[in-house]
Parts: sequence; structure tokens; C-alpha cells
Amino acid sequence: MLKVEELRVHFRTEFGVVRAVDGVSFEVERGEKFTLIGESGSGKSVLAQSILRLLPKNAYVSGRIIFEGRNLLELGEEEMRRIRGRKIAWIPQSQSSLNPVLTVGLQCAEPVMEHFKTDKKSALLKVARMFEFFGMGRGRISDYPHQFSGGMRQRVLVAMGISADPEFLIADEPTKGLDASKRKNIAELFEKIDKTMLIITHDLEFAERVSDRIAVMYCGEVVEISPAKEFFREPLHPYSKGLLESLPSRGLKPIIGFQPSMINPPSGCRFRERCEFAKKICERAPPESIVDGRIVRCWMYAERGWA
Amino acid sequence: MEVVAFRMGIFRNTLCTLGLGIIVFIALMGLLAPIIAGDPYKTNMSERLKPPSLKHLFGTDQLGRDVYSRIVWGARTTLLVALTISIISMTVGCLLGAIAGYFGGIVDDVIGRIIDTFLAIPELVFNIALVGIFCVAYGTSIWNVILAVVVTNWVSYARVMRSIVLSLKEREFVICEKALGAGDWYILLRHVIPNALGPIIVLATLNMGNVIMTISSLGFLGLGVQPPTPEWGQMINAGKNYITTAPWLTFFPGLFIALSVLGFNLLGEGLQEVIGRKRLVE
Repeated sequence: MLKVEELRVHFRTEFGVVRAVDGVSFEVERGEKFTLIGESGSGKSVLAQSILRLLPKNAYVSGRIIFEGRNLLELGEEEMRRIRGRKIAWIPQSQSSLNPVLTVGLQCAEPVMEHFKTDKKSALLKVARMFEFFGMGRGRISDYPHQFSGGMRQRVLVAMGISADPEFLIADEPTKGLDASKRKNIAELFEKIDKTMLIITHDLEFAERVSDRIAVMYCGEVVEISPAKEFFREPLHPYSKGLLESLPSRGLKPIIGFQPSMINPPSGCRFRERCEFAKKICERAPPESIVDGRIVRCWMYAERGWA
Repeated sequence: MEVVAFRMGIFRNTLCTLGLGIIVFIALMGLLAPIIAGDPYKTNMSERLKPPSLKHLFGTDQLGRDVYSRIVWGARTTLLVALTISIISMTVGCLLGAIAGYFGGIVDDVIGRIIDTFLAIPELVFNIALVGIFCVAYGTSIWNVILAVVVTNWVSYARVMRSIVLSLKEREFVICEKALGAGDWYILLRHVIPNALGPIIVLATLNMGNVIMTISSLGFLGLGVQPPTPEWGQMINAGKNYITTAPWLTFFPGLFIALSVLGFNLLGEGLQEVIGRKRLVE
């Protein structure tokens, strides 16, 4: 349904070119929940924003993003606007994504009014029904954002995202800043929503619960794409292993070192300086290997070169 | 709910209450002028330059007109002119500033340079020159003063609005609106500008004081509201020849100019505190 090919997003800054996304390819199938995980600064949010072309003007985007047979990167601004919210919706990071001076109902109704040209009354009615479905009172549509708790605000944002009935949803860190029980609520909500989704998160437990497939991003590159079940049973890439082992439930063992700078990333495998298995060959860029239908970018799984 | 809280915040703030009190007092003066004051134009040559007494509360001027009545009617003139100037320059300034801040690029450069140019010229001197030009071009009219002040006054609104919008447009809810398919103008008018109104209200209040000063200055220089229409600055000008023999001619208009400017400044400062504190609570 959505196909990203060799996507690169570079920012030109005074310190040099930041390669936030560097040659990423993946495909999201219709109906699945595809999750991008990775630590902060790995480029996952930038990747999501580049799909809707929301990046600031100093971003240089190349590659192809194919949605319904069209390359989104080549569309005009007006065509793009018709896709945003209607075809592809965005569920932003929580808290400050609601306008403090408008009622939440009106904000959720806006995409409906904009894309279906309906009047305010019927749009609000639709929003009220949605609020009920999400476990909030109908009457709450006339409240202001500051009258909601963090967890409820996140639900409002989800409602806002799906109000215009889009085919594809991008959720950017939907559990950011929420406590465990609220994260569970959002996970339940996501399970209820029957839409194709691209979820960006660094919350691994949330990812395990809601996703069908997982892509791991490290330093602007996708290092592994696996079905969620298999990924959490047996991660392939050393970085994925490190991520899972750093979970409290799996030993709380952090990955040593820091993510390298995106201005001068190390040559070859970008993870090699932190990798316990690194060898001489890792100084060369690892090829993409396919292991049991899973994609992994590591020399360990390459046909030649490791042994 | 928050309206009530806001109102309580205003009245709990001494500066606000005091400023608001003064402004309401002067506004009531202007509103009730036909009831509480006599005819400001009626001359009486037998009662020229009389000091304040029970009959003439603030004395009489060189034509025997009642200074009290002229002061009260003058409140109407001053407030109306100042309000018109503020509303026009606020609208123009906010819109231009918001456009500059939101769209950036060449639009911002052009508007920014215009703002810089206006800022470089001393305000009052520019106003005087403009009134002169307008008088020659269109004849004497109150609109000369209004337009001349608007031309220099919108700049401060534009500057403040631009900087607020610059920070607002990076806020997540604006990006989120864009992600949901809203157009630029819609975002700007419905989401960005309403969020900038707090600081703009403070600015407008403080600015009212400046505008009143400017109007009075122009009046004093004989360029503002023309006699016989009562206006405080112009009254000081007329009274300055008698400052040693009849000081009430300059004292009372001066007092009311100072009082109204003080009122707006107090309210502005107070609002800044109230709105600022509200920000902190959020």
C-alpha cells in the first residue's frame, strides 16, 4: 500500500550535512500495522514526516514514496493537501498537538469539514460518536485541551487522526509521556482501529503488542525488518538484540556506547563500534540479506564474508 | 470557567484594577459628556480666564468657555481617535506580521525591511511630516491625524506578531493541522492568530497610552484635532500663553492626559502579569 524506496533525508546545517534518513526502503502492506522502532535520533520521526512532506524547507529529500501508484515526493502542494488527513492521516506526539484555544470537538471535526465539505453540526455529531467509541463522554467535545489528562488527550489525537476516515495512519510516538496503564489503553485502542498503520515508537512493549511487522532503525538506516512475533522471539541484528536485552523484563542490559553523529557516520556498518561481534569486514557496508523471509543488514547473515 | 478565572485574575491584580478603574472613569466621562457637562463651545466674554470656582469647576479659558465641559468632551475626542487608530493599526500590523512570520522567505524579507525602515525614522517627526502632507493633499480633517499615526503605529504590532507567529508555527498543533490537510490561510487565521492574541492585547493596551500621547502632542503642535473641537493637547497649546496668569488652562488638560496614559499603562502592565502568570500555571 505504501512503498518507500531508497529514501534519503538530509539537512544542511552549519555543522555539516545531517543524514537523518539514509537509504531506507520498506513496504507497508494493506491492513497491517507496521512499526518503526529505534532510539531517539535514529531518524524515525523524520522518516514519518517526510511521507507527508511536513519537513522544513532545509530538508533535502530524495528517493521514492509510492502511495496508490503515485510518488508522493512529486505531487504538487495542493494534491498533497488533499491526501493529508483524507488518505494518509497523522497522529502526532501527545500533549502539545492540540490547539489550546479551540475545543477538542471542533479540532476533531475540522478534517471532516475540510475533506467532506459537511457542515459543522454533522461533523460534530460524527466526532461525538467517535468519542463515545473511544471511551470518552459525548459531552467532552465541547471541552478545551487543558481540561483533559495526558492519556485522554492522546485519545483525542487518535480521534482527530481518523475522523476523516483515512486509509492509512501514521502514528508518531503515540505513547510518549504516558504511564504504563495509559499506554495499555492506547494499545487497546490501536488494536480496535482496523486500518493500515505506520507506527513510530521507541516503546518496545507497545510495539510488541500492536504490530504485525517491525522495522528497526539505527542511525538513519533500517537494519532489520521482521514479523513482530519472530522479532521478539529471536531478533537477528546485533542492534535488535541489544535493544531487546535493554528492556527491564529481559535483563536491563544497556547497549554500550552512544549512537554516532549523523553528520559523520562511521563507514561500513554504522553499528560496528558498539557491536560485540564486530570484525574487520564490518568496515565495509553490510549487504541486505534475507533470512526466512526476514530482512537484515548485517555481515553475520551474508552469504559470503563472515566466516 | 476560564473566563471567570481570568476575570478574577484581573481584579486580584492591583495594577489591573487601578488601571481599569481610571480607564472606565475616563470612558464614562466621554460617554456621559452630554449629561454631566455643559456646552464646550459656548463663549462668554464677561467671564474670561476665571479661576476654578463652584460655577466653573476647572475655571474658564481666554474665550470664557467652561474648561470642565471642554475636558469632559475632550475625553470623547481623545478616546475615539485613539481607539480608531489602535484598531486600524492592530488589524494591519497583526495581519502583515502574521503573514511575514508564517510564510517566511521573500515575503518576510520584504515586510521585515519595511518594518525596519519605519523603525529607523523618529516617530513623532514622521507623524508631523505626514499630517502636513495629508493636510496639503486632502485638506484638514481628523482622518489626517488618524492615518498619520496609523502609518507609524502598525509597526510595533507587526513586529510582535511576527515573532510570536515564528514560534507558534513550529508548535506541534500547527504541524498536526497541516498533516490533517488544512490549508495555510486556514491554519494562519484559525489556529495561529487566535493563539497570539494574549500578548497582542497587552501590547494594544500599552500602545493606547502611546497613541494618546501622540495625539496630544500633535494637538499641542496645532497639527491634531482643530479648534474649536475640544481636545486636551490643543487646549494646553491654547492655554500656554496664560500659564503664569491662568495655570488651570494647562494644568487640567495635562492632568487628564497623564491620567489616561497612566491608566492604560497600568492596565497593560497588570495584564502582562496576569497573562504571564496564567502561562506559568499551564
